[in-house]
Amino acid sequence: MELAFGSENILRGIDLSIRKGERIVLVGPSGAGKSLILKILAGLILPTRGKVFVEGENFHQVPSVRQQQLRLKMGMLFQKNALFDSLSNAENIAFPLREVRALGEAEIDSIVNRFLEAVGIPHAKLLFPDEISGGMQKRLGIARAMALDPEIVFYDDPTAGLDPITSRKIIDLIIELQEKKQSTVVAITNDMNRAYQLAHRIFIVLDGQLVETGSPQQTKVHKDPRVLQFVRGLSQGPLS
Amino acid sequence: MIEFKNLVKRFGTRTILKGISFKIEEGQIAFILGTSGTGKSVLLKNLVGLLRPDEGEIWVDGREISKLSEQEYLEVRKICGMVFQQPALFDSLSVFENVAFGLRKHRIVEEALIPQRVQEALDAVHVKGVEQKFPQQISYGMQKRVSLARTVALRPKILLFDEPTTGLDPITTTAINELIQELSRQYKTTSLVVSHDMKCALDIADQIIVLDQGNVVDLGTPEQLKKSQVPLVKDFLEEVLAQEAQSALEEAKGRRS
Repeated sequence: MELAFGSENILRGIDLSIRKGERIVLVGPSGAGKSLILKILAGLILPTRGKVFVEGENFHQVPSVRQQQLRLKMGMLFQKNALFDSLSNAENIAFPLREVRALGEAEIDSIVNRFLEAVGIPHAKLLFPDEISGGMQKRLGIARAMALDPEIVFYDDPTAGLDPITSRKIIDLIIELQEKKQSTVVAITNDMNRAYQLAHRIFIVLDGQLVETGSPQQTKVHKDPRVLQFVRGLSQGPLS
Repeated sequence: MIEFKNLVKRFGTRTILKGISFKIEEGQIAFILGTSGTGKSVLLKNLVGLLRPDEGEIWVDGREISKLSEQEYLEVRKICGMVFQQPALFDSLSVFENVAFGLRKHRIVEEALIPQRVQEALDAVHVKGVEQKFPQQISYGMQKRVSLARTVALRPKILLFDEPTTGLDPITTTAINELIQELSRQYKTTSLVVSHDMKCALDIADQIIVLDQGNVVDLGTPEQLKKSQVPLVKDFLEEVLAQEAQSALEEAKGRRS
């Protein structure tokens, strides 16, 4: 796929194939287009050229009813969580359930409890997002994304701004939920330690293109000097 | 240069800072580490007077500042340069005008001397040839540099950084960390950095202060903290120390072959 804004080509010829049950991590310099790739994959923006297939179907050509069905299989954690300030934490999780599922209140409450428990914040049920810490807000965002039981989950920088211990726990939680459901995960991060912790396969977005660097082990000792400079954060090298 | 003495800050019934004491000598770079929500930003806000402590003292440049009037506090703020997490540049002003803004507003130098002062600051952060561009026309990494230039142009005695590298890619992170060190040395500032970047803290800090739930749980030089027995500190540094050991091993292997 390709993406241009006006005359500016942001993404040039991105080919990516993700298998069911895989955890993929995208890394790359700020402004390289990582979030745009994620949004294209999630069907939130249309690529200028190219196609996106979900479960073998051309996402932008299927009838809208089918497109909606495919969308419901996807969950997304946004970079800034995008929580509703005016709703309690429980209501934040309940919101999408009410929007798209015809469930009774008792059932919604039981799902809310289950996911608050799963992300480790059952005590924060009746608080509001601005009454809990940044790490807890991330957990709440994850709970909301997971409550619809998605088969494909997109995480846009799930640990940005969190301390290393909280970050490690958030990634552990993402892995735990993914393994339980055997869902497919695509995540963006710029913290290489978190990328190594989470990924089956890592990709770097460089100059509008995608370079697959393989497993964490393969990435750490990659032959491409651009990749090595990036993952080691060296100030000198071909990317400077 | 900066000293906190038994600082206590409460919000309602919750005590956020529970008696913080430490001292940063003139010219030092100090890092404050701690889990999210442990009071690091509250501490910074107490220093610049956006919050006032309930108990304790804050000494800056030989003066106790926590009970100063708003008017008197302006002088303290003048010697503190703050670098925010986001570049926070003015969209409608060019790079040059962004750096010149504070100089004009605080009438720090005469108009005729402003171009030279702006140029010096941009040189110091290694930004060239974009003076007439607008923030949205330069990369995010470059915007971060310009925001650093804007702060150092005012020649503050104290530089405060609130998570300067959060969300940046590894190369830009290294570049900004190197700049923090360069600028602190070049402008002889005392620097206080709130950060989650353990590697950077070990690389450039003179002193590291670790906060947990409103208390200082450890404090010392990077070498001292590497040997710390405090569980939180060990957890924090675990990955970085493992990486250091790994690189050392690779280097040794490289030498043998």
